[in-house]
Amino acid sequence: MDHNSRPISTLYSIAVAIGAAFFILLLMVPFISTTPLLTLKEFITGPFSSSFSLGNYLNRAGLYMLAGLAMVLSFQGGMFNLGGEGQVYSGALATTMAVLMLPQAGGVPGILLGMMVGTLCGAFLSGISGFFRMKWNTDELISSFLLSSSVVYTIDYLVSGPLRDTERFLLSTPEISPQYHLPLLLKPSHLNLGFLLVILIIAFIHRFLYHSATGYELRLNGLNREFARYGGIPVTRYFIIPMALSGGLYGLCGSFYVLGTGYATVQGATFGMGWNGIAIALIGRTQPWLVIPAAMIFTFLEYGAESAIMKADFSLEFGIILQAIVLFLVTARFKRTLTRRRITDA
Amino acid sequence: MEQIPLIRMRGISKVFPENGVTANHLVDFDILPGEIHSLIGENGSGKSTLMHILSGMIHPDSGHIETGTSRKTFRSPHDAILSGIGMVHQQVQIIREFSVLENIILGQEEKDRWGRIDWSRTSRRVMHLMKKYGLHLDLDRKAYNLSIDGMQKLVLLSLLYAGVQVIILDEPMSLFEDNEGDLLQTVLRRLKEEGHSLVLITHKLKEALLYSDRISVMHAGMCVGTFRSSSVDREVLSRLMINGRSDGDSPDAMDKSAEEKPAGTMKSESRVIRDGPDLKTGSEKAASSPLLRLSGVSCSAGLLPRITDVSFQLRQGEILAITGIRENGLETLEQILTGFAVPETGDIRFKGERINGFSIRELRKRKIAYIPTERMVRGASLGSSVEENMIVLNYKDFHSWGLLKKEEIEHFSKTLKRQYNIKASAGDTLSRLSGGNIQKVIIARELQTLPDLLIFSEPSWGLDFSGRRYIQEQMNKMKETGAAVLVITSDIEEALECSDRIIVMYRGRVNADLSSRDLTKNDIGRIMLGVNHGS
Repeated sequence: MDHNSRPISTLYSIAVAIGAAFFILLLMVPFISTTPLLTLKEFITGPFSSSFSLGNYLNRAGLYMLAGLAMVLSFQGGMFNLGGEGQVYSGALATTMAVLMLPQAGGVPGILLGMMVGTLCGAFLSGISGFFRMKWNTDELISSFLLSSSVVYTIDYLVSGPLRDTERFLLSTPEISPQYHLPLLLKPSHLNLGFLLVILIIAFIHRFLYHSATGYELRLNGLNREFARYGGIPVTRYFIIPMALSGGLYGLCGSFYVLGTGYATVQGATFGMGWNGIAIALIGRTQPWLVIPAAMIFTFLEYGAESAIMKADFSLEFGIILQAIVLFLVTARFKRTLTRRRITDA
Repeated sequence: MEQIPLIRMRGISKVFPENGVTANHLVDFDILPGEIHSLIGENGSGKSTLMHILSGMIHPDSGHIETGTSRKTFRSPHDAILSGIGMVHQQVQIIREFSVLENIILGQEEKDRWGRIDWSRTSRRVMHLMKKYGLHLDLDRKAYNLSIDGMQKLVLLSLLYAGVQVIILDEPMSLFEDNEGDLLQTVLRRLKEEGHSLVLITHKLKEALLYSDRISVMHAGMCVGTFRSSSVDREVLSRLMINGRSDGDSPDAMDKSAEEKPAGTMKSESRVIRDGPDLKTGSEKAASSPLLRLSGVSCSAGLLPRITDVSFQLRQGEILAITGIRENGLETLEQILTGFAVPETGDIRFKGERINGFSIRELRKRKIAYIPTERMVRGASLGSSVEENMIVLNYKDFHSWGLLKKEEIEHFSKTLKRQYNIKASAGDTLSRLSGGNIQKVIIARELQTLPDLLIFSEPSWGLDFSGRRYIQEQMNKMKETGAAVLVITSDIEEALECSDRIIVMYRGRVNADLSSRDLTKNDIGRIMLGVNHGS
């Protein structure tokens, strides 16, 4: 009773999508680049060209895995958390502020506190939308998005105004002190302990979803709320729980960013994680373990495009088009089931 | 004289890749112009698959379909409709937010030259169809307001609107209610007179014989015979359905089949009960305190048909059937008794405790089990695995330290599958199972909790002989242990067959409360239509 969709066929269809995207890349490169071979080489080998690149590639993939996992929880519970951007951002700011306010203490408790604050902050933000849905049947898709947007602007203001470290050239809060940094794994890259923690969290969430009673309740509510109610399973709380868990993981994503990569909340630095989380969860067919390959691929496309832009004459737009193609090919099927779910839900 | 078939299916085979089940094996099937052709067979005999192939829902592995002189390949139901073949399913797909009219013309809108839908012409055409076939619906209503048989009518109308020649009806008897005369019969006759050919998928032998010109029997994926219904013996058909052979060597199965036993069986059952040690005789039973008691219950809120001042009692060891035509309050009663709707006035007591407005969760804690009419939406989660569907009531028994114990769950579901003869392999998604097997999963799950009261809506929907017999046995067993069953059914015969007592609802009121042993189908039929009963 582990999975509803079959992992093998899922991996296969992802592979087909990736294959198709590369095929299109091969076809197009001669037309869009004056140095097609260099572009291709940079695109494909970029992430692996040095330990610095590899480390940064994995580091970003790790953050994306966590963001994807956040959306997996939301989808599995039949909810649509569209507020990832604001939740990551607020998680990052909350972590930064908590750690900055801490008197010079030991590293580990400070890191743990930072992660906790970030998680709670994201969970709270997203939980509000779940609560509104439960209480007044407000569409969580809209409320989480609106809430997140306003939070993004508020934090933008805070970071560029009251909380800004005027010594730095960036619009940013002050940096956190070095004992709170997550240990680096592959110097000089940013790859840090957070990456391994993310893998552990994925394992934990998988166990939670498929082997725990709460996970069972959550998934049943996600698949068929009417049936869950009929079976005597609590229903109302599962408007909030998936949202809060999802927001919590997004918040944690912000924490990991601050503690392991940015060491401060820089304006706009976490942008994209919220949206990319949705894409990665969809590529990974909303299965916890599958967010790992999904995030690796997604990041690879993004990173490859970036290095091709820097070292050859590849365009940013084309990189985005490639991502879109993969997303399009991979999500077509999922979109259908999701729409159907929404119809029966109404 | 031999008529030329309108449609020929030849050598149709289909194996489902998901579970390797051979649903059809080299099936030949003909439809003559203007005939009513019943396709009968037990659950999982392949009759639905065959018709899904004909209506373009499923692609056969081999074999072909000929209409007239040309071979056809249907890639979708739409293709089939273009060739004049349409199917009315048991589970209807509609757009709930659209009006009835919008649903009927969906995909076949008539446009004026500016590309706008010509509503007045459209609705005139639909009205004309409704009048012609005696299928009446309020066109402006939103489709979600419709009852299940209303939705069936809607789909039928939309097929007629598309000008479909061959109409396949899946289990129409359980869905078109006896509504002031026999609507189904009228509709079938009208359709036939207009030159349509009809295929009825059914497992009810009696109706098949009554309505159709020809009958084909499916058994284990094969078509084991086609007969003129005027010249075929019912015994032969039953044996074919059950054994696949007409010289059947299992007369035993026949005798027990639900079809063959009218109200009489229950009487003998109650005699058996009286011999039981703990149970009281009929007159003593009346004295025991009721398990469930409704007094003066009214509900007129929401979209459900209203009910007014409903009172009745259900005692331990009793099977009570509530019957009536749909829209006369059965569904409201079902919702109220199971915590999905709250009555405005009146009192519902279970074992003396007032349970008005209790949620289904609270009711389940009090050992009330419930099998809903909407089996596929409310009664099961089609996207979850069979096991996950089975443990929904007792999953907490399988967990320790927050984790579910996989082995125990597997053991539990294996036991249920064996006990109830459910054909499914481990880890199968429920939607991969046949309709009958899904029903069994639901019934198995509800009964294994050993409830004190079972609320069972439309027990025999989608079930065949053995399935119905099985359910009857289960209900009788519950009776013997002192539990009670409340059957809510719109099928008079079923009410008569299964129950000790019958309550008839008419326009939201209890019109009669009678012992089922001195009733005939006609008596009840009259009461259902509001002709008042003397008592």
